[in-house]
Amino acid sequence: MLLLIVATPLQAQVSFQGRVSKKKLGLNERLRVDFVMNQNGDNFNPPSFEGFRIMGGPNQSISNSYVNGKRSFSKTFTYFLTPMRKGRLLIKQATVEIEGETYKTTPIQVEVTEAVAVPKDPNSVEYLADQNLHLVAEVSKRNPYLNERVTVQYKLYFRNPIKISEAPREMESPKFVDFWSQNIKIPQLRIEQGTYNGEAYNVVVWRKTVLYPQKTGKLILEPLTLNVLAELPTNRRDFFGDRIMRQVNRVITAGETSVEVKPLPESGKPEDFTGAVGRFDFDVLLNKKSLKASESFQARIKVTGTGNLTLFDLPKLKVPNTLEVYEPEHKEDVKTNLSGMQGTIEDTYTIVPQYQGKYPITPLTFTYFDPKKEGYERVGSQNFVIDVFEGPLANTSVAPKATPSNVIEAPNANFKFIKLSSNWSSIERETFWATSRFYTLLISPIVLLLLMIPLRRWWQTQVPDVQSQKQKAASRKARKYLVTAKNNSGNKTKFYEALEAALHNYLKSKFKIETTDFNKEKIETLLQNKGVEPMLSGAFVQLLQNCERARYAPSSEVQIQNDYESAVKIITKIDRKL
Amino acid sequence: MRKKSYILTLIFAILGFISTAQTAEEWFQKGNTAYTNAAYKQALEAYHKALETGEHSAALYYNLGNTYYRLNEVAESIYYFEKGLILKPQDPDLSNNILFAKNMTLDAIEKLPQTQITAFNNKLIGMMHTNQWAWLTLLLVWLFSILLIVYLWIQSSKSKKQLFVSALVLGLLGVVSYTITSTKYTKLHSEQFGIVFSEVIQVNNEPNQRSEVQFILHEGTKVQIMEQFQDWQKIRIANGVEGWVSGAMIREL
Repeated sequence: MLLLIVATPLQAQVSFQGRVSKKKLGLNERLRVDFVMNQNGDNFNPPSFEGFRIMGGPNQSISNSYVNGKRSFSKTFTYFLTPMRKGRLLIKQATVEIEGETYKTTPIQVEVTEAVAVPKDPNSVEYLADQNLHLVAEVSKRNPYLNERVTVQYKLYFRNPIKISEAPREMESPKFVDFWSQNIKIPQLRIEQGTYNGEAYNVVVWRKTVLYPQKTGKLILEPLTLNVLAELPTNRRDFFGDRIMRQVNRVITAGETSVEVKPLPESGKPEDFTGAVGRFDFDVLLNKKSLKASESFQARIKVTGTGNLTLFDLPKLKVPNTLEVYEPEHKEDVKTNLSGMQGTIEDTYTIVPQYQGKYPITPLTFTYFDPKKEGYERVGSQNFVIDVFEGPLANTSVAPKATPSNVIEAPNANFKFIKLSSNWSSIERETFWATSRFYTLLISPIVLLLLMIPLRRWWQTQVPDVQSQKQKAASRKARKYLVTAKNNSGNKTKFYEALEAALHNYLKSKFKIETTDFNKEKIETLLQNKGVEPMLSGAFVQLLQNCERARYAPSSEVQIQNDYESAVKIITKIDRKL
Repeated sequence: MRKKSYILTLIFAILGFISTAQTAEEWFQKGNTAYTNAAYKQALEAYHKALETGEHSAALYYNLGNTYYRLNEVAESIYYFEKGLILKPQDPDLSNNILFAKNMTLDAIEKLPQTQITAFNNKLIGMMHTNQWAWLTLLLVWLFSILLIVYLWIQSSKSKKQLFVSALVLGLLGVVSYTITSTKYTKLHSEQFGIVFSEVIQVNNEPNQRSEVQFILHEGTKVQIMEQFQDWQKIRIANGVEGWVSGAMIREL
């Protein structure tokens, strides 16, 4: 009685289960059914096994063991059945009474197919191994996008009666062509409980791989082949009636699988998309925002998140060309686990401004494809302006070393303040140049000038002064006398008389000398006093003498003509001088 | 009721008239005050109001350029500085501050080297506004004509000589001035410049999308607009390279 009280809490969980050796069998195969209870019961009542013929049983077996003072008990009723028809057959409930309560098993459905060629011996090693040992490649996603993370887990399923005591050996490792792949190290193989095709199995995850497909279309995952050293029970039994275990090498393969990689959607694909797939944060960080020229600052372009981090390019830094930018330093801090690559990648640029001024750092945007949202996402950075104070001012052209003349070195060059006064003019003001007004104003003075020339001539004739009138009269008189002299050029005496009179008249009108007090010396000095050259005055006097002499001396026609012409010449010359 | 509304609209109309009737100078001064108080957005508004009055000046464009510079708007800043330089090419403040603005652009284009003669020419041409040159030409021609007329009327042969020589000199200067003005005028009217306002533009070899991309320009670069073909524009940049762009925002100066 006391024992019972102590035992009761230990035996709180009563189980009564029905198990079949296989759920699918050929018409000519045998099926073993076990009904297992973990406490002793009475009145075991098997189901009717409709559609089956009982070939053996019930065999009853009881096992009772103590481990560390804990008792475990099991009592099994075993039946061996052969199916009588094809189709789905149901093994109905068995009942048992344990401590006054009635327990029932769940009904079990068994599928009976065509008769198999060689009825498999359920106890043969091959059969047992085939039935109870499986290697499966589990692919997380069969239809991923390009560059979307896919994980492949190779799992080894096994169950009773197979036992695996040694770690399997990998005979052929899968190659992942067209994938970026990374194995995730499994520090220790661990046996876990799992289900395979709906049945309970022991599972060992043999290998985990993270894949990023690099090509679209159907990509083959090469198979993994394992050599498993399995322990299987044999038909022989040892002295104690236990089955003798046998070690068997089995080569098992996870069949070739494939994934169908979708290309990233073209619609809405941003132009600056560089192939990032996942979920990311993006940032641009500057360590300084104002500095002196020739000091340096750093700009970090940083992408954090989960996705194909090492497989895309970071956006390039865009700064004014007048800044000296060095090649960026690339840093990756990425860990890979089953959920993909995680971490941060960054480019660090070192920038040295040469000249003072403000330099905007163009906001960068980073685009990635989010496979969960099936759409493109865009993250942007802030707009920065670097303020460089102190330093030379640059002309717009760069390459200051090559052409130093381009750089205006201005010691006090600062950004100048606004102007406070303004001269206003109309925006719509026509350019004065090339207008008709301009041309009128341009041509009118020239026209005026051209008009002035004949006007001046006319004026000269119209408004004479007294002096010039007298002179004009004198020259007219002289010419008149010369005209009479010319008319008398045939008659020698008359010609010279007229010439002499003309000369005298000329002098008279010019210098107001009376003809009476004429002598050669007086005339010469008078002319010279008036500024006439001695040669001219001499010629004049010579002409007068010629006239006197010609009255008495013979002279030719030629002489007369010469004298007339020299008289005209001399008079005009003297006239011009005066 | 109706009368009341009439009166109201009349009052509003008058108020509106008064407020819009502010002169360019008033807006300019308002803008200056705002700029000094670092209220750049307000300053911009005021300066643009000043422009809307239909008057402009190099100083106004200069201040607009400065304000945009303060607001880090590169293209706008350069645009207004360049506009100012058209009115007053020799202004030292303008040429100083435009360098600061150009520092902000992404493109650095090496200018074609100038010969001394072209540099001298440009300096000469840039000395004055076209209209000023035109007036100078007129002045010289008028002086030339007046001196010649005086020469015609004067009696003394000594001063006649001097007058004739100086008239000739003035006439020659007039011809020079005329040539300068006409080159300046044709230059201004045949060369159309613009500032790139698009963030990035691709410059192609030919006016079609198939052709090769020659180079890429960024906001704030000054280009010369050469010709137009369909929706393509042929541009030339400071280093003499030419190409075609399409769909780019280039604001003409």
